[in-house]
This record gives sequence, structure tokens and C-alpha cells, in this order.
Amino acid sequence: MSADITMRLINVVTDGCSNIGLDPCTAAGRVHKDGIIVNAIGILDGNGYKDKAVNEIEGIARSGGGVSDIVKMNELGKTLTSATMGSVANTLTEVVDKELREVLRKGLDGIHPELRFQVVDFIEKLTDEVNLRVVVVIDASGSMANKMNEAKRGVIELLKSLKGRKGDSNIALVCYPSERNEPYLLRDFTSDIDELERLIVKIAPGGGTPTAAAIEFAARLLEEKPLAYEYMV
Amino acid sequence: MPGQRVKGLWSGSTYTVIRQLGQGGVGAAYLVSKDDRLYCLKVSDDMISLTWEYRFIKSKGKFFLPEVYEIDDFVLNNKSKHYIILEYIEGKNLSEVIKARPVDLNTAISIVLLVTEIFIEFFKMGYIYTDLKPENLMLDLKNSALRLIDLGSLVKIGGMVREYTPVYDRAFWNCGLRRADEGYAAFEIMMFTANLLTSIDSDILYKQDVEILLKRLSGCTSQGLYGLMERAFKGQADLSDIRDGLISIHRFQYIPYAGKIDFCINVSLIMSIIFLISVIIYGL
Repeated sequence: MSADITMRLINVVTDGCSNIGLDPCTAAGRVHKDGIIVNAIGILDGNGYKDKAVNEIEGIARSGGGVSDIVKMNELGKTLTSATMGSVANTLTEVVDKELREVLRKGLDGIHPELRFQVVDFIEKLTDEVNLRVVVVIDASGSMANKMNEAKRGVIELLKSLKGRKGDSNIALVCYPSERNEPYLLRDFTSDIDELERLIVKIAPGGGTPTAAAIEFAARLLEEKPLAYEYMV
Repeated sequence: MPGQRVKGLWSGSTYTVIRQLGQGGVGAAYLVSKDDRLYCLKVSDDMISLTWEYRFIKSKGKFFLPEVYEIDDFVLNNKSKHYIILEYIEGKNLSEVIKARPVDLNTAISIVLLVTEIFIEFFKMGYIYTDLKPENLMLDLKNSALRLIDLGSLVKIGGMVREYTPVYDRAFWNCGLRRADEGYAAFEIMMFTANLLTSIDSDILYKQDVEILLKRLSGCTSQGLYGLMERAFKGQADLSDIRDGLISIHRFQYIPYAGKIDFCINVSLIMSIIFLISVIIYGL
């Protein structure tokens, strides 16, 4: 396996409670089948998490082959980063484990713990060098209004972290809902922090919560796009 | 869960859980016993980070790190988990100590000087420790030393910073990339110092502006220390600048011990330890 590979991820930032369209977990499952990892980060109000919201957030990540987490105030950036890098490491570990099983007929579990370090070093190196294309999907529905500043800061913090890696990192930003209650593209793939910072201020929360449609929209962005398209936008 | 037994799949060793010691990003630590000896058992799902920590301590063993004895897998509720067995450090966590009594300038300098020495050791080995915070520092009462208890944030120089605490993080303050380099470590050490001396409240945190923080600090620290902070925040100080700066402030305060630099470092370290121990005695 060479380090010149690109992994595709979707990070959904939401307070749960999708209320328009399909079940977002189904959408995440479908997207994951195409080799995209879907992580879900919940921003919930401090006291007493809503079970339904937590279930939805965990469900998205489970079906999407990713990591989920619920954040405290001021920690979204950190959580987004650790979910992103955690899901990348998990996926690479699975791939390496599968290869080992094919070649040695035993996986990582079958290697003595003292001797696993060589494999671990290899996975660490890949995690740092792999190229990442990440679509951050921001729930800007009415219920997110008082959490928008946190969400905006979180996305910038994520890009700051990813830029510290050896591999290339590009982030695209999808928001929902538009005036017609649909997801829309705020910024195509970029690694320019300043530009992202300027654009992100424009997000104005309000409206319903079509989370499933937003996940599918993000997946299309990661999928069949010819490279030239990036430069046209 | 106290009383629970953990049996290693490969080694067959059995440990009995006494109580939980702490909970971190990747797992939890427990006080356990085996054959009447106490150990610290760190459990995690994350095989990568545990394997890495075990390997690092095993190959680089330093007095300021806990000793590591074993790495193994075990089964909990039909799920495979991983653990490492570390030395149990008897003492106090720095965060408990400073909660009990705020530190004065001399004590703060002593603590930071010790931390800087540790960071220089890591730097020589090619690593940066990116998650410096009081919770990760133990005052070892038995050996009178300051020791680090969580290596989860150690990264090779030039790598990506994975674990950090926003208050001490250079990128959070818009003072540079979140990349593990010497400047990152210098920034982190001086921000840690600032937080020891003045609590960085949410008001200042929200602004994410070091200039505002520096203005606040100018009132509650010595001129030498202020200059050092300013340089570290602006990326103009490396680790040896910080060590030399701290020593000169320290020496200024203990003129009788001023002498050759080497001698001075040792004296500073001894003085620091005496101070740390006195913090514990008077602080509790």
C-alpha cells in the first residue's frame, strides 16, 4: 500500500432531530457502501441530552463506518479532529488487518502484543501521510441557532489541525437547509483557512432539518467529480 | 468496578481492580493489585496508542516516566480490549495541588523549569509532548520528583498534533500551525506558566488573542518572565531559550547559589523539588 492514497470522509455536525426526508442512518449506510466514512458529531444543549438525538447521531456514525461523539462547549474543533483522525486510523487498521489475515492467516489479534509495534508504526505513518478529502456538513436548522458560533469555530479548528499533517487535506462545506429546505454547497474543496473563515460567517441558521439529503449531497460531492471541476467553481 | 479481575490472554497474569484512577481521551486508568503489589492498569480499545506508549517507555525509559511492565489483551463483556501495566506512582496530581492552593511565582517557575527539562529530553529523542496540563503531571512523593503520566500526546517532530488542550494550544490562539515543532512546545510551556499565574478565564479564551492575555499578565509577573512569555507566544523562543531564561530568573532569586551554569541547573532542580514538596505539605 502506498501513502499516495486519498480517503474520503463526511463529518456531520448536528443536534440530531432530523425531520425532513429519509432516516439519516439509512443515508449514511448507503454512502458508506461506496467507501466513504461518515462521522457524526452532536452539539447538544448542556443539561439532559435528548435520547432521540443521541440515538440518531450514534446511528449515523455506526451505519457510516465512522466515529460519533457528543461535544461540550468549546471543544467541537478538538472533537471533530479526533473523530476524523480516529476514523481514518480505524479504517486503515481494518485494511491492514484484512491484508494480514490473507497473507499470514491471522490478524492483528493473533500477533503477540509485544510484537505489534511494527504494524502500529506503519498505520501511524499512513494516518499522517494519507490525503484527506473531508466534507463537513453543518446543520444550520432553527434549533442550531444558539450553537452556530461554536460550529463555525469548530470547522476552522478542524482545518487548522489537519494542516499540521504531512498529507494533503481539503475541506468542503455543505450546509442545510436553504430557503427551499435543501442542502447547499457553501465552499468546494479548499485548504485555505482564511477563505473558509470569511465564508463561514455567512451561514444563517433557520428552517427544517433534512439531514439525510445533506449526507447524500456531500457524498455526490466526493464521488463522480472530474478534477477540473474544482477549478471552475 | 472494584473487585473485578482482569486476566491477560497471552500472559495469563491476573490483576484485581481496586479503584479507578482517572479517565482520559483514549481509555481509563485503574489501581490494581497482583501478588500484593500495586500497579496502574491502563485500559483502552485503541490498540495503536497503547502499543505505542508501551513501546516508547520500554525503549526509552526515563526517570520522569512511569515504568511499564506488560502489554496484553483481555476480554470484557465478549469484547476484546487491551491493557498495559504501569508503575503506580504514589503522590499527588498537580491539578489537585493547585486547586488546594494557588501557586506563587517561585513555585510556578520551579515547576515550569522541571517541565522544560523534560521537554528538552523529549526533543533530543525527536519528540514533542503536545498535551501539557496539570492533570498530566504527578508529584511523586516517594521519589521526590515530577513525573509525566500520559504519553498519548507524544508525537514525532514535524507530525500532526493530535491531543491538546485548547488553552495551551498555539493554533487555538492563532499563533501558528497545530504542528509538533519546537516552537509549539515553547508556546505550550509558557502558556502553561501563564495559566499557573493567572487563571485564563472564558472571557479571554473567547477572544483568542494573546495581546489581550499579555496585557493581563503584565500586572502579575516579573519582567523577565513576561519577556519570555512574549517571545514564546510570538514564536521567537526555543526550548533552550526558555530554560536559560527561567534559570536566570531563578538565579536572580537565589543569589547565594549563583555560579557555574551546570552547577546552577542542579541547584535549581534540587530547589524546585524542595519547593514542590513544600507545596504539597503546606497545600494540604
